This record gives sequence, structure tokens and C-alpha cells, in this order.
Amino acid sequence: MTPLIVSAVVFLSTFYFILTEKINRTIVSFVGAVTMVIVGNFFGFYSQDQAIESLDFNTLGLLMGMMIIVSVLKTTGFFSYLAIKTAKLAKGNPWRLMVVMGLVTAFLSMIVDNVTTIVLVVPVTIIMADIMAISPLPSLMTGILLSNIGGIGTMIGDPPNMIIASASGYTFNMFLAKLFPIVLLIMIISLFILRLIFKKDLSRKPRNVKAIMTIDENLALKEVKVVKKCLLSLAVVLILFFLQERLLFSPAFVALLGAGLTFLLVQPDPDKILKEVEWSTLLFFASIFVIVGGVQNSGLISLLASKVSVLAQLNATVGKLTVLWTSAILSPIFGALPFTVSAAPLLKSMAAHGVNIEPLWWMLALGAGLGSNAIPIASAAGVIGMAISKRTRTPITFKSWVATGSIIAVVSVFIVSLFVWMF
Amino acid sequence: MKIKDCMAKNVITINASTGIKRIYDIFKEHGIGILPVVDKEKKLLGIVTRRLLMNVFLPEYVDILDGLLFAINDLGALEEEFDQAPALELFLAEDLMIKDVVYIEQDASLIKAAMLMQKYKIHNLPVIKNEKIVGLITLSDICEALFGGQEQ
Repeated sequence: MTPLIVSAVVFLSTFYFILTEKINRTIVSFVGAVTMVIVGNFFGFYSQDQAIESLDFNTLGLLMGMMIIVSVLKTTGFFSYLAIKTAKLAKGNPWRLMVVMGLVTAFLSMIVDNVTTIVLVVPVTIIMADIMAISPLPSLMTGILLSNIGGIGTMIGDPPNMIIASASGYTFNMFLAKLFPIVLLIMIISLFILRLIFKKDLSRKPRNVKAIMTIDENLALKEVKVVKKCLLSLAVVLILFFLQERLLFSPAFVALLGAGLTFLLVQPDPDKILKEVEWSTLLFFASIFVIVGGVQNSGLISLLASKVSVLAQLNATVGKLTVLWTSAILSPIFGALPFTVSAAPLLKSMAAHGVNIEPLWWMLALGAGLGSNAIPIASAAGVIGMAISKRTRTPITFKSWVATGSIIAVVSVFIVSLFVWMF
Repeated sequence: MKIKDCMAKNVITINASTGIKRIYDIFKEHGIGILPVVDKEKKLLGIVTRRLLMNVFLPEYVDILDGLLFAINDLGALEEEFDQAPALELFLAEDLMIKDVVYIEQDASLIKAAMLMQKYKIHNLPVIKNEKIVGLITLSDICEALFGGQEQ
């Protein structure tokens, strides 16, 4: 009994400090991880070797590999180029600008991490709006929300999906088949809801449309050769992901192979590139893995699983909806990432009790992803987007987020619920 | 050679509530690069530069535009708005100034001033004695001191 209580105390207090945000989350989780190993050793439920084993290298490697490729690509101005080219497609129409900027952010987020996408696309959105004397808010908000939604569509779009891929063993194509269609539908519905919400802003007549069309996106590209090499590496990575069933390559291996290829082709200064990799995120991940590993080894997770499984077996639809809504409510509170790391072993051990967990994985991915639009601080894209918007004349406030993001979050989870209920 | 031997001792200073129009006039009249902002005891609070003066007209996100600016020549509405620019009188020295000022003690050596200017890519340094401003040293002052004495 003691291991159960001790591991629960360490786990819950770590999550409490993550929730209160008084101390940096990486520091909290790292201290939590070390504490878990100490008490685990003392009470004999979690050895140092078991702690190392609980580090999910498949997720960490995938994340690191993608970060390296993107770090090289983002120095080239390619994202600005793409964003300008897309913005010009809108031909100065505010509603169309909102749609194309939202979509380009969403599709980039399916491959590149959301923060990078936001940091590189949003400045283009803002200056376009300022040139035309329209409010940047609709395009800005749409970009952030669709970045979070779009990321759910692929295995590598969002960290929670990477964790799910590793825990479930599902392939890139399975994520595409199961999640991409519904994500696309949610994106389209969200665009029309946002159109209604921003009706007033979008009806303002833009000026200086000519100025937009004179922007030369080619001048934003700094190193065309490097861009081509990075895109080649990314293409190789995507092809290998598509062939994952046949090649049996793990996601981490594919991403690291891509990183290696990028390094070889571009030969950048590795110190400079590695500085761009978010080590604190990786350390945060690793720490959460160790903490959750402790909870798992104490037997707490299988105990919980046996209780939850009874519920899930009563009614499949109720089981799915429970996972969906629990994920959507808890992941904005604790962060999608720690929530998913904790939920994954729980789902896994539910399989041992005879529950069909395949649909539950997709519910977890959708709930964790869609829920992160509920409040600005629930997603990295929201935090960064809000910080950037503070430099514009129409900053995103908590209030304006509730009137847009929260609505989109609730509606999108309802859409998924509807599908679950119907099929 | 020490800083106090070649600094300008008659420093023009402003206080936190000096308006932007007045600041512009001082810059124009005296042809100087920085204006120290001081309190009643002549303690240094910050500095205003010509570059900071311009920020009133620039959007706040300018530093995150990165390579993007290369692609844009016509800034459209951002240019049109110069005439109706924010009421200039509203901006005071305390809104514009940088508080994180690089300064130098009057007894420091000249070469230290040159090193600071090189490191922080600046041309002017406020000179301090007991936290109070006593002078101003510029890149030209240093050049003059270093090269001026050496006759061909």
C-alpha cells in the first residue's frame, strides 16, 4: 500500500506545481522525477534502472530529430516566403486572408511544431494587416487555433500524438486515416464560426491592396540552396513515414535519420543549430516519463485501470466519450503533454482488462489537442501568439480568447462527440 | 588618460517628464546623440537616443520581423498614418528611455570606454561619479584623444 500512496503523492504534488506555474515547469518536473526515483528506491518499488527504462526514447528521439530539421530550415526565411506567398493569394480580402493564413498555419503545424509555426507565420499576418489598415486579430486568432487543431491531424503534428504513437505502436498512415479527415472537417467548421465571431472586423474595407501585391517574397528567402536541402530531408522523412508499415522503422529513427541527412547536406554549425533545439521541453518530457514510470511501477496505474475498465466495458460509446471529455478538460489544466504521458500507460493497461482501446487512443489525441484551445495558456501556440499580439494595437486578452478559442474548443469537442454517438 | 580628462562636462540633461517635442528640439539644436534622463539629485535614470525617438512612429513588433522586411518596400497604411500619428505630446522621456544604461566611472581609463563602446555598439557613454552624472564621452572624444596627439 505504501508505494501506491508515496508515488501518488510525488505525482500529484508535481502536477500541482505545474498547475500553479509559480516555478518553471521543467524545474518542477525534474525535481519531481529525481524525488520519485529516491522514494522509489527507498520503498523498493522503482529502481534507477527502471527509471531509465521508462524514458520513452521513441518520443524523445522523434521530437529531437524534427526539432533539428526545423532549426536548420527556420534560419532560411522559408517560412516568411511561404507566408507571404499565401497572404498574397488573399488578394487583400480580409476574410480570405484569415482563411489562407489559418490554413497555412494548420498545414505547417502538421509537420512542424506549433511554436515555430506561430513565431514565423504570425509576424507576416500582423504586418499584412497593418499595411492594409485592417485588424490583425481575426487572422492571428485563427492561425493560433488552427495550428492547435491542425497538429492533431498527423502523428508528428503535436507532442501528444507522438506519445500516443509510441505507446500504441500506430503508424503515420493510421494517424492520417483516423484523425486527418475529422481534423479537416473541424478546421472548416471553425473557420465559418470564426467568420461569424469576427464579422465586424472582417467587414472593414482594406486599403493599399496594391502594396500587398508588390511584396516580393523571393527577397525574404536567404539561402535557396539550404531551403532545397532541408525540404529534401523533410520529403525523405515523410516518405519513410508513409512506408512505415513496410519498413518497420520507428518514428524516432526516421526523424533522426532526417536530422542526420540535413546535417550532412547542409553542414551547418552544429552548436548554432543545437542551441535552437528546445532542450528544456525535452527535459520536461523526460522528467514526466520518469515520474509516470514511478506511478506505473508502484502498481497504481493498473489498479486505476482495473476500476476504469469496468466502466469502459459497460458501454463502448460512454467509454469513448469519457476519454474524450476527460482529456479535453484535464489537458488544458495540466498541459496536454503531461496529461497524455500519464494517460497513455492507463489506456495500455486497460487493454489487459479486455477493453478495446484502439478508439480510445484517438479520443485521447482529439481531446488533448482540441481542449488546448480552451484557454490561452493551455497551448504553447496560445502562449506565444498572445505574447506576440501584445505588440500590436489589438492584443489578444483573456476575455477575447474566451469569446473565440473557448467557443472553438467546446464546439470542436462536441463535433467529435456527435461522430462518436452516430458511429 | 582618464575619462574625466577628455569628457564633455557641460551635459544637457532632461527629466522624466520632458515631452517628446522638447526632446526633439534639444537633439536638433545641440546636434547630440543621447540625452541622459536624471532625477532632482542628478542621478541617472536612463537615456533617450535619436533612435528611440523614432520608435513612436514604428510598430512594436518591428524586432520580430527578421528577414521579412527585405521583401516589403511599400508599407501602406503604416506610412499613411504619419500625419495622424499618435498625439506626440503624450510621449514623455520616461516612456521612451532605456533604463538599462551602459555607463562609465569618471576615473576609469579611456580604453575601457572604447571597449564598452565596441562591445555594445554604441557611440556615447554617460560618465558617472557617485551615481551622479558628471559628463558625457563620445566616440569622437576618444578618437581625438587617441589619434589627435600623434602628429605626422
